[in-house]
Order: sequence, then structure tokens, then C-alpha cells
Amino acid sequence: NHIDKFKLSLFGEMGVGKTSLITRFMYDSFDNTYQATIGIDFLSKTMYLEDRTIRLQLWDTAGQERFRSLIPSYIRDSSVAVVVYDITNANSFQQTSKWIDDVRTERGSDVIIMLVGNKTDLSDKRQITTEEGERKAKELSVMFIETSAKAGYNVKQLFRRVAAALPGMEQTEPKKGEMTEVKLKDTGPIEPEHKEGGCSC
Amino acid sequence: VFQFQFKDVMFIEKKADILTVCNIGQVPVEFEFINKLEEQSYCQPWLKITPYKSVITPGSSCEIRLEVLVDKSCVATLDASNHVLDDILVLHLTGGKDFFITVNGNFIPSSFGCSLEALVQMHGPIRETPTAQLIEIEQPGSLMSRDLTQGGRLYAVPKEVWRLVDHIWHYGRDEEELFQQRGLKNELAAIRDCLDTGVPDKIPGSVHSVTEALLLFLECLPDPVIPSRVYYRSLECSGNYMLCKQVISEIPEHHKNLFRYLCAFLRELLNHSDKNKLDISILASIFGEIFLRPPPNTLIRSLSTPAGKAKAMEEEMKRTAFVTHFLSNEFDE
Repeated sequence: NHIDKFKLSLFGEMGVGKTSLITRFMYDSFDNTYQATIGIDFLSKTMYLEDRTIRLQLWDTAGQERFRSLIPSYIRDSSVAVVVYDITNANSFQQTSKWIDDVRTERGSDVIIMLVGNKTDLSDKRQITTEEGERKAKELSVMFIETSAKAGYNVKQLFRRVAAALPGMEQTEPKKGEMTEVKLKDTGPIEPEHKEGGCSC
Repeated sequence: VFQFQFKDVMFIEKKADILTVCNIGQVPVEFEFINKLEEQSYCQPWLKITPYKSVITPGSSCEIRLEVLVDKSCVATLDASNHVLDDILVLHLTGGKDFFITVNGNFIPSSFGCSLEALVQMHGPIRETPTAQLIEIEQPGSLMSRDLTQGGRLYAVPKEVWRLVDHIWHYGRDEEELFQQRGLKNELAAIRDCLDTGVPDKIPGSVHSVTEALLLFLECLPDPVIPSRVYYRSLECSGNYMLCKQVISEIPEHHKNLFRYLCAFLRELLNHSDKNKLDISILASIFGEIFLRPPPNTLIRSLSTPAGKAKAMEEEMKRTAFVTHFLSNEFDE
């Protein structure tokens, strides 16, 4: 009973909805309050496809520009790259070219790339048409879908489509340890100590 | 929460903050700060993290100390144009997520760590020098391209070195154990402020703090008194005074001036050896290491092997021999 495991990573500018897509897919819920992802997090989900069962490890990444230089190391062992933009934000759409470039640089053609236009629920603020998204996906030879994490539109389909595109056999990754929740808090600054008359050595 | 700000970091002054990591899960968690892509270390040289890795049992927490210190080992790496401290740490939980922790701050410019080229062009105290001007004079080659026919002048030696030397000469020439006793930390900070702001007129602190400040100042020069590119040649020539002089004659004028000036000062101190008990071998050994430094990218030889140790000792002897020539001979050309 062999289960193939795949790493799927989400990339894209901050606030496009990477975390929300994962939350919708995993828990079928949506959180209205925005909280930036400051780091990298992952969750695992078993998917039962028609002909087989696979385990997807979903990696959520920080979209903030200042962390941009850290992201390529997380692309390295991804089988799937989901590059997300916000259909109401033209810049986030333009930036997807850079993200796709980064993925191609690290993985070449040995990767499935899905371009995702998220936030279709905000249709009155739309800046990027479906056709523009489709055209870009075609130009860059990647898959394409529009979604709404908020409304729950097309999210399952997104993950089903990439899962269906995955090769039948792939080397299994080493088993990852259990997840642990960790909370970080910053206690106030402490003053540097100055030993009066102390030696500086 | 994931951001640490260190405001107004000064040379040789520690600042610290605490990051508390709590394990609110059910199983022990191991954390570690990991290297960023292609980087040699998990943090910048001015930052120290303790512990950088540990295991936290469920329900307990770990206090991680982030300590910022710009000292002689890294001050030269902060270039004058960008006195900004900026780093992102990757806190990795084994088998789990990574947190990005941003550490930033501003560094108060100091003459400690400035290039000799910039120092001889800097007339006022560094803290009164506009950033644009600092950027300009720190530009390699800025000295060569300077047109003195348009006015302005250059210092023969940096005013900071002159002030330190003058102070030692006036208040310490007869003192024993010059350059051998350590100074006091708080006095060194006061001397730094005095050199960087220009006040007070008289350098504060004991003579031993001032001598340590002079050594520190010279050690912080990004390119030492005798430029690194002639380091190995200098060692090769160390057996022959004529050849040593030849090396010195070929180094840039501002390096040559400073070398000549410091040697003359040390010879003057030796004239007072009946009181200060200094001898050539002590000074040559101390200043050999200060004047002559290998190029920055030289592989650090392991001192744990006998061969490595022997090689290091040989280099040390050659540095001492090199400087000895200039302390035992009047050198004015």
C-alpha cells in the first residue's frame, strides 16, 4: 500500500491569498482577518484520486518582498508550484512572471506549475480578466485556474487538477516529524550591562 | 513579534534583546537557526545568537538572546555608505515550519573602521561629516582623483591617530607596560566618542586605554598600515632592511606617511626606555601584527596541527623582524 508523497508550494505576492487557499482546502473555512505569513509553514493532506491515493505536503510561503531572497531554497524540492495572484491587483499579476522564472530556474521542466487568479468574489474590482490570465499561462506553458478562497470557488478543483497531473511514481520523501505549535513573543529590550571599571577582555 | 530593532548601535557597544520561544504543543520541539541560501553562517558577523539551537519540552519556553556587537572583526564590513544593520534569521523547527525573524538597526558611524584613504580626507569629526561626503571619500580611488588645486588639503596622517599619539606622548611616555596593559571598556567608549565628535579636547581615560584605542584604531583599518597586498612580499623581505625599505617605498603615500609617523613615535618612546622599560622586541612584536595583516580572504590555517602552528610562528617572527628594522634604524626617506 504505497502512497506517493509530493511537495506543493504556494508562491506569490503578499496578500494574494496563499494561506487562505490552503485554509479553504484543508478546513473548508475562511478567516476574514488578514495576517501576514512570516516564514514557511506546511500542512499535509491525503488525496484520494480515481486511480490512487497520494499525500500532498502543502507549503505556504511568505510573500513579503523583504523575504523574497529566502524563498528560492524552498522551491528546490517542490514537485508542484502554485503561483498565485489577486485578480484585483495588476501588480501581483505582473509579479507572477518573476515567481515562475524563479521556479523554472530551480526546477527546470521537472515541475508542475499552476497559475492561480484568486479573489473572483471581488468581481467589481477586477483588474485582470480571465483571458489575460489564460493567455499568460499559455505563453509560459503552465496550468491556469481562477479561484475564490473566500467563496470556496474552484479551490478543490485547483488541487485536484495538479494532483491529476502528477506522475504516477516518484521517490518518497523521508518521513517528516510531527508538527508542533510554537508561539513567539518578544519581551522588551534589556539594557547592555556595563561593569564599571571592569576589564574589557 | 518577528522583528527586532536595535537603535543607534555604536562601535564596541553591545545591545541585546530576548526572543522567547514557547512550546505550546504536545511533543518536544527542536529548533535551530539555519543558514540562508548560499550563506556561510546563520547570521551576520555583528550578531550573536545564544542558544542557536535547542530542544524545548512541551509547556516550557526558551529564551534566545540576540546580541548585537560591532567590533574590530566586523566594523570594516559595514561600508560607510550604508550604516544599516539588516539581517533575516531563519528559525527552523525540526520537521516543522520556518519563522523569518528580521533584525535591523542603525550604526552610528565611527572613525574606527574607516579606510585610511577616507580618514586623511576627513577634516571634521566623523559624526559631523555628512553621509554623502562619507560615501564619496570611502570610494576606493577617491584620494587619487581629488583635485587639490581647487583648494582643500589632506592630512598627512589621520587626525584621530595624531590625537592618540600626541596624548600618549604627553601623558604616558614614561609609563611602564605601554601597549601591554588592557584599557577599560567604558574608557574606550569615551575615547571613541571623543575621536568621533571632536570633544573634549583632551582625550579621556587612562594612558593604557588610550594605547589600546590606538592599537584598536589601527586594527580596524580595512586595509592595514602596510597594505595587505604586499603582506607576503614583506614577510619574504623581512631578513633584509634594504628590501623592506623597498617595499615601503612602493606603498601609497598615505600608508607610507602613517607607517613612518608611527615608527618615529615608537622610536621616540624607545628613547625613554629607562623609564617606560619598553624594548624593540616587545614593540616590534606588538606592531608587527598591527602593521602587517594578511589579505582578508586568506585561508585561516589550523593552529591545532604542528605544521600550522610552526607556519604561524614563522610568520609572526617575520613580521616582528620586518618592524624591528624600522625601530632600530632612523628611517626618513
